[in-house]
Amino acid sequence: MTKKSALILITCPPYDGIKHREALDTVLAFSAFDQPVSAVFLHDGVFQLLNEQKPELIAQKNAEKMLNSLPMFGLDQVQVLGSSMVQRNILLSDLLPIAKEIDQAALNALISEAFIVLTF
Amino acid sequence: MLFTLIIQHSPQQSHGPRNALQFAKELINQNHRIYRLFFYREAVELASSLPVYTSDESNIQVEWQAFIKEYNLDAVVCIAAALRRGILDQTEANRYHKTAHNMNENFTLSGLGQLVDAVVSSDRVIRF
Repeated sequence: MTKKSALILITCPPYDGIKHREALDTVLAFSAFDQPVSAVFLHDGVFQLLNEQKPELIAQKNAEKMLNSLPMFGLDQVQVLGSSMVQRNILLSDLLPIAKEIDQAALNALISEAFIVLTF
Repeated sequence: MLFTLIIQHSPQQSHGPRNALQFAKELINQNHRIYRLFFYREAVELASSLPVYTSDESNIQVEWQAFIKEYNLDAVVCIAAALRRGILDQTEANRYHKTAHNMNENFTLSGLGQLVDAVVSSDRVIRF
């Protein structure tokens, strides 16, 4: 299979419906079929990466488990946009270990390199 | 060139489905080919045969279905997204013991693997 890289931009917060889950399903699908894929969390998407989530209190499925399973699918890291974290007063230490911080320039580079960019 | 179109929103929430249809028609006019149409998230409702539109509204549902049929296009609806939104074909209705099925015959239910395949196989992927 030829390889075409996908970039998934995740801007939605978790638990507002299931948009966050369908976003992650898309990331997993590319990974599962061995296609290069990157996931960048920005804007309210950074909230998806907060550790110690307790969504069972609002009868929602815990997104943390799905995110922590990404390395099993070959995605050891996801990127998170630094400026989105700053705007929301979130530190890297508040986030899951798979989160790696990037700046706008790095995000721009990822966008130019990708064959397809899907935004959720 | 070979195109795949990804449609994600319902006609009630977005102009996307209308835009996508006009774009798809223009692709055909300009002799491009459509590899696949992939309906995800709220756009799965475009595959339902049930919506009723008023007579002074354009019926985007019927227009999409007619277009897919006319050009014999591969219109894939994401099965996970469809099931949770109540868009079922006969097979799934039987499988889950539902009283009815509502999916228009011009669509096929399948997984996200078809989206990945479409991305790999197409020259251009446009999302609406």
